[in-house]
Amino acid sequence: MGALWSSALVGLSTSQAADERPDLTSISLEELAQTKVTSVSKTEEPQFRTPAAIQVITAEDIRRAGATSIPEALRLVPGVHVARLNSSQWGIGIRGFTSRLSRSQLALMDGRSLYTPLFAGVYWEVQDTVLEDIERIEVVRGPGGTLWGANAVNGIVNVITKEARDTQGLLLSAGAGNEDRAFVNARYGGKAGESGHYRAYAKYFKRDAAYHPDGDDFDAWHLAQGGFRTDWTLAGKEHLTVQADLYSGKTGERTTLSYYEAPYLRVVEGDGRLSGGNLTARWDHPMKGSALTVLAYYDRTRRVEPNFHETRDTFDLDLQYRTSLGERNTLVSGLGYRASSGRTGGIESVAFVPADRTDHIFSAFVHDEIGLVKDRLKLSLGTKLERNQYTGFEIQPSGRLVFTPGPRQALWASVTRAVRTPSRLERDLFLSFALTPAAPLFARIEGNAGFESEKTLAYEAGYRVQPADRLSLEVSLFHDRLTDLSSLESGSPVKEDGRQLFPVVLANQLRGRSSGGELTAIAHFSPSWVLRGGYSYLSLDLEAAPGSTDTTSVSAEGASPRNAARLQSTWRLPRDVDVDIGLRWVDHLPAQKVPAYTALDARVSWLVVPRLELAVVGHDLLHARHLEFGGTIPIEIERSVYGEARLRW
Amino acid sequence: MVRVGRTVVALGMTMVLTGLAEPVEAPRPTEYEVKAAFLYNFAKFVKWPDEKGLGATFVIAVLGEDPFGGVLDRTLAGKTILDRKVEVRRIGSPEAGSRAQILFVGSSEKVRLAEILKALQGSTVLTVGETEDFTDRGGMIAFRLRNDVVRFDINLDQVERARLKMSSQLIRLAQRVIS
Repeated sequence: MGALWSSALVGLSTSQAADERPDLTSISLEELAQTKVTSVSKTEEPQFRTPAAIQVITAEDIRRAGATSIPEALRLVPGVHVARLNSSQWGIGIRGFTSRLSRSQLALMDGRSLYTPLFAGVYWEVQDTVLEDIERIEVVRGPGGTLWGANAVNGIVNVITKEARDTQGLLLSAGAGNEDRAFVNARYGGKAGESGHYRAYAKYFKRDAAYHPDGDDFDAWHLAQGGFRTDWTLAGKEHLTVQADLYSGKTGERTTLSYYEAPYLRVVEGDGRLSGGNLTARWDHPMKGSALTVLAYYDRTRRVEPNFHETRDTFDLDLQYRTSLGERNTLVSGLGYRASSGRTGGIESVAFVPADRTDHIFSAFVHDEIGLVKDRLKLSLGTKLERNQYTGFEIQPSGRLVFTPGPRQALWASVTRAVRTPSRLERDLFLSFALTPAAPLFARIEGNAGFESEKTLAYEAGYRVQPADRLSLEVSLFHDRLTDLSSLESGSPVKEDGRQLFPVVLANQLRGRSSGGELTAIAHFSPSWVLRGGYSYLSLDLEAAPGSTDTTSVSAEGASPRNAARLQSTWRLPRDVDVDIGLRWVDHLPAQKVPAYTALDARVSWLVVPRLELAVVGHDLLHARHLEFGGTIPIEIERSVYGEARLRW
Repeated sequence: MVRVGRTVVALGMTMVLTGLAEPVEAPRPTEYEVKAAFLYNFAKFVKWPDEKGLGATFVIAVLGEDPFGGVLDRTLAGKTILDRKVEVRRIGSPEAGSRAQILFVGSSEKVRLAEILKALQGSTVLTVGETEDFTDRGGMIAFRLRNDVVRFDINLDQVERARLKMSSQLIRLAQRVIS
C-alpha cells in the first residue's frame, strides 16, 4: 500500500531544482491556460488563500458532468448532499439538514438572493439559466463569514454568470433523451454601442416523470425562460451591468390535502404553475485605492399549487465599499435594504395569518483583512448586523486566520456565529392535517410569534497543499454548536367549529452539535487525464431541551448521509473526443428509509468541427432506478440517457 | 490521548518552522513568462500557408514598447519551430513586421493599431496583442489576464483572412472567439 502510493507520487512530481525558473514551454497548452501567475494587485482573492471551505465549479466542470440543472451541478462538491425527490424537486443540504425546502443555505445568482422569506429556503426548480453561460458556481460549506447575508448558516451557493463580452455570437444547443425529454437553449450576444456588450437568451425544457411504484406519473414538468444581460464600460473604469430573466413553467404535483369537510383527507393531483422574473442592475465604481459597488434588483415570484399559492415581490438595494487602510489592510463595508412582500392564499387548512405581509430587512457589515505577516499570515475580522421585524437586531461576527507558509500550502481556521432568522412559516403558518379521512380530527402546526432565530457557533479549519506539481489536496473540518433549532411542541387539544384540533406549535427547543469534514484530491496524471476524488463525513447529534415534547429531532439527524464519496475522471482523447466518468456513493438516510446507493454517470463528447459539439450523456447508469429521498410514497430516480448537439457561430 | 496531541503539535511546529525558514521565492511564473510560452505554443498550433518559403529563421517580432524584457529571449533560447531556429526581433515599423511569422503588438501602439493592421493586410503574420479590444479591432489573438490566469481571445475571421490555419485544440482554449 505504501509502495504503491509513493510510486504514484513520484510519477506525479516533476524533477525541478528549487532555484530554476519553470520551463513553461514543456507543458501542454491546456495546462498553460490554467497556470496561475503572480500578480501585483489582487482585487480578487485567489481561492487558495481563502479562509473558508470553498470549492468552485467551473463552466468546464458543468459541461463535463453533463448537468442539465444547477442542483445536478452541485453534486460535484463534497459536503453538499443533493437528493432528488422527483422529477422537479430536489432536497439540498450542505453539512446536514437536507430538505426539499433547502433551508439554512444562502443561494445567490449574480448578487440576487434566490432565497424566499416564506419558508427560509430555495425553490431550486426555478433557479436556472443557460448553463453554458455560467462562469462559475462558488460553493462555500459552512457559514462563510461576514461578506454574505444572514441564513448562510450551513453554506452558500453563489452562481456567477459570464460577462456579456464572453458570450458573444450564437450558441444553440438542443437535445433529447428518456428523462430529459427535450431541451433547447439559444443565446445570441453582440456589441451594444461603443463600449458595451449584450446577450439575450431563451431556453425551454421538458422532463419526464420519475418512477412511481403505483404507475402514477404525475411529476412530468416543463419550463420556458428567457432573459438578457448587458455590460457597459463607462468613463474611467466604471462598469454597469443590467440583466433580467423571465420564466414560466408547469410542474405536476401530488399532495395529500386536508379539508374541513368530509372526506377530510384527500390525495389531490394538480399542476403547479410557476412563473416569475427579475431585473438586476449593478454599478462598479473603482477609485484610487478604493471601490464602490451598488446593486439593486427587483424579483417577482409566483407559485400556484393545488393547495396554496403565493405571489412575492422583492426589492433590494445594496452598497459595498472597499478601501485599503494602509499597505496591508483592506476594509470592506456595506449597507443593504430589502423589502419582500408576499401575498398568500389557498385552501382553508393551509393559512398564513396574516395572508399578506411585507418584510423589511436592514443590514450592514464590516470586514477587515489585515496582513499580519506579509504574504504569510492574514487575519480577517468582521461582523454582519441585521435588523428584521421578527427578532430585531442580529449580530453575526466572524474571525478568520489564514497562514500560507509557502506557495504550496495554506492553513486556515475560523470561528463564526451565524443565525437563521425566522421566516413566515415559523411565525404566521397555520397548517391543519386531518388525522383520518373519516372524522374531523386534525393536527395543526401553528406559527409562533415568539419564534427566535436558530443559532450556530461554527468552528472550522482547513488545509490545502500541493505536494507535487500535479497533485493537490484539501481537507476541511468543522464543529458546530447549534442552539434554538426549530422544534414542534404539542399543545393541549382544542375544539373549534366542531373540529377536534391537536395543536403543535413551532418553537426553538432543539439543540445539538454537528461535526465532520470534507476531503478533496485532484491528480493530473497527464495533460489529458485528470482524476478528482471527494469524500465527506457528517456526524449530527440533536436533542430536545428539557421540557420539550418534540419528537422530530431524529428525523432531522437522519435526513443527511453520514458518509458520501465521489470519483470523477476527465479524459481528453485525440481527435477532440472527451470522455468523462463520475462515480458517487451516498450513505443511507435512516430517517428517510433510503438505503445507501452507488451511481455512475458517463459522458462522451466529440468536437466534430470547432463550431459543433455532439455529446451523449448517461446518468445513474448502474441501476434502472434508485431512491434518493423518502416520501409517503417512495419515488425513484430512473436511469437517464440523452444526446445533445451544441452549435457555436 | 496525550501522545496523539504531542504528535499533532510536533507536526504543526515542523510545518510552521519550515514554512518560515523557506526563502521568499515565487515558483509561480510571471505573466510574461506565461505569455512568452504561449507565443511559442501558438507557433506549434498554427499552420502558415507556405512553410517551405519561410526564411532561415522563424521570426517572432515585437512592435512598440517591449513588455517582455529578457523573458521572451530566455524562453525561446535554443528552441526550434518548423526546423528553424527561433529569432526574436524588436522592430519599429509594421512593414518590418510583415516579414515575421508572429508579431506581438505592444500596448504602446494602441492608438496606431488600425494603421498597423492595415499595413499588414495581405501578409501571413499572426498578430498578437494584449489590449482589451485587440481582437475587436482586427487583431488575431488578444491576451487577457483574469483571476491570475492568462487567457486569450481569438478573431478567427482575421486568422482565416491571413490564410493561416489554426488547430481546433487552440481555438477551443480561447475565452472568446470572434468569427
